[in-house]
Amino acid sequence: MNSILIKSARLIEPDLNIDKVVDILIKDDRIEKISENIKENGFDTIDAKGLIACSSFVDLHAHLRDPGFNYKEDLESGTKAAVFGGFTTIVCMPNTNPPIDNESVISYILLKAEKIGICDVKVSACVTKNRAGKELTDFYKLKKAGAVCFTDDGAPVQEQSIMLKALEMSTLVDSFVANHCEDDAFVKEGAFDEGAFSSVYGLPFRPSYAEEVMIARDATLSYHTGGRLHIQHISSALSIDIIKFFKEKGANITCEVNPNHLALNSFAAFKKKTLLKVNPPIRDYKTQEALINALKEGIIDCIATDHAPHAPHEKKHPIKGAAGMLGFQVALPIMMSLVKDGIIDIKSLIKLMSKNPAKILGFDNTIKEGALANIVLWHPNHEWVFDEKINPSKSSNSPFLNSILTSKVFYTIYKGKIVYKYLG
Amino acid sequence: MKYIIEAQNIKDDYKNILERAKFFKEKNIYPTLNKSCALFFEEPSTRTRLSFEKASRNLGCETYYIQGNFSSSVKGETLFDTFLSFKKIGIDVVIFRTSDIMFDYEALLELKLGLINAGDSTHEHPSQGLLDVFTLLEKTHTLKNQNILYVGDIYHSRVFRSGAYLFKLEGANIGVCGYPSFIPKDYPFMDKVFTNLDEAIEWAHHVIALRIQKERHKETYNLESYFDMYGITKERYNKIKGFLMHPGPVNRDIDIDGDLLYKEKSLIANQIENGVFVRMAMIEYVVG
Repeated sequence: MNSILIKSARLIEPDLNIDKVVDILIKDDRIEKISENIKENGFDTIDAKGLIACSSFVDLHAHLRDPGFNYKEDLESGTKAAVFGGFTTIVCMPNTNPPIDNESVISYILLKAEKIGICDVKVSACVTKNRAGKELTDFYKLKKAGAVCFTDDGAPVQEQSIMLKALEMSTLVDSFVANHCEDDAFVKEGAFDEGAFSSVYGLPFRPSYAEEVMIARDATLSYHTGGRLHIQHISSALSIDIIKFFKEKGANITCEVNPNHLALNSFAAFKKKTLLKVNPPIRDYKTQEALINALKEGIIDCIATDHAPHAPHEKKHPIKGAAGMLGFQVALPIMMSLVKDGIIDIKSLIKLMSKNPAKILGFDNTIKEGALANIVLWHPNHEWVFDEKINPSKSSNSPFLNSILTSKVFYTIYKGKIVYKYLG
Repeated sequence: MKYIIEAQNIKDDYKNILERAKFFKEKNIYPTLNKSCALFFEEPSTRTRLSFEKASRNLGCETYYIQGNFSSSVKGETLFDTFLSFKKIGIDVVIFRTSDIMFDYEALLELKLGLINAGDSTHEHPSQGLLDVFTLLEKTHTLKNQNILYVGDIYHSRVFRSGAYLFKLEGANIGVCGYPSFIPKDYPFMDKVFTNLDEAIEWAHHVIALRIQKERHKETYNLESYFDMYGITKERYNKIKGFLMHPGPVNRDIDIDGDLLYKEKSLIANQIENGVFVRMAMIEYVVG
């Protein structure tokens, strides 16, 4: 029998309004007991003094690149990166090769991830075949095969009638549509935000209205169909207002923000250049402020990393280069910096990174006796360097690479097993 | 060997370059540099190329013209390979025009070539910026607090990006005028934005009309209306307090009324003439 005793952890469980120092005994894959002073009885013991324990993090938006782009990342390196960041449930995006528009790709991912066995990989399936925006996939079959939601992430559904049908169909199969909202008509070859950086180079840009018009469209369609809509990585102040408006109208909408959008603004591009290239783009400091405020006000349901590994040669060109940056590794330090700045409290952080995304996926991850032992233990103030040596990803495209970050996951426990341990 | 890829590369040296250009023009005494200059042009060019070639030869340099077409290449690596081969062949100075933006050029500097950007896509055109400053200074002697107005497709203008930066160093104010989609948002070296040209000309001392890139906008804008709205008509020309310039080639009767090109307030011919001296000074500068 596998037994782990976590000693003296500060357990924060917002669902039960718990915030106290306790011992947690794990047997096999379950939490056996939560109590003060559990006797050490030959169990493997983790000294968790100074560490926070909470339900491990859940990420609705990750690119694992497997199958098809395994040189950037694969299911093994991707899940290692996830547990490094404290995530044990992640939803992988369907822009693989072949794309996740059929049951066999879903089976491939689920079986391989299960064999690796360190993280629960959930699968999003394409809204349209080959992510081409023309013909709906078979939502019924894909859901049955294991898809938890539908998205053409990165190649948003442009045709409104298809989006309407997708929302209707998602309701029938009790799922939801996640959309990366950017209208192609406004982004063309656009690379960075419309603003100083693009202006200095004369680069084609990705304006915020490309996102806002599509969010307004999708929210309207969700409102009329009742279809569940999850808006991915919002990046504009007006987007927040539109979402707030439709939420107040009772539309079935949730949304996420990418921690990189909270931590950075477009001025960083002058230094970090293409490392800052992501879609939708990092915008100016006013937008950054608006996103942080929306988080504080509770308009944003969850954070999602949009973990997007790319090889160095793919990131070179300002226009043709790949968009995206690593996410799992830096999410907790970024969110903790907001806690330190007094913008959110730790309870909110746990809701945003664990509780709320779990609710969107429809599972309960309350830490209680008898529950599955998916726990992350992290130090709120530990400083560490995010460098090539420590990075478990195959790629290193992060503007934070070689930076000192504060707050570190020390242990990630998945189904009762230690799947990540920080070695200092 | 030095480099001039962006105007900011010469922020501490541009005055010396302008002084040398003035010396070349006034004294007609040119040093003999005995260098090999490659003119590597990925995009067509008539006057810039010829002007650089003449400038090189005036300085006793050999010139080699290479017409490249690497627009689909990943910039940096391929340009690096090309320039490295130039170096190995014995080239000292590369004067280049690229269809890609010179975005991250640190690797090229390792080659220890003299590098002069003769226009990189929408980004910069430092020799044009320098010769515009030179030409206007020749007439006004100071640009401090002078209002300089660029008219046209500012967003896609590499002439604007180099010129605005250098004019700002001289203490001028920069205004821009064009369709809203032609105006760069939050551009740091821009003081005034106009969409009405008559109001803009009221503000301006000097006007630099830019070539409308017809190929880029033909589906969006009617060119006849463009001339009425943003063209330098006779009426507008009469209201210009200082001088009129244009980097060329001019779309006659679209950018500027064709009758006005070589009138007394127009410095268009002076710009072309001065280009050779300014480019000589640039070549001398990068050779060091």
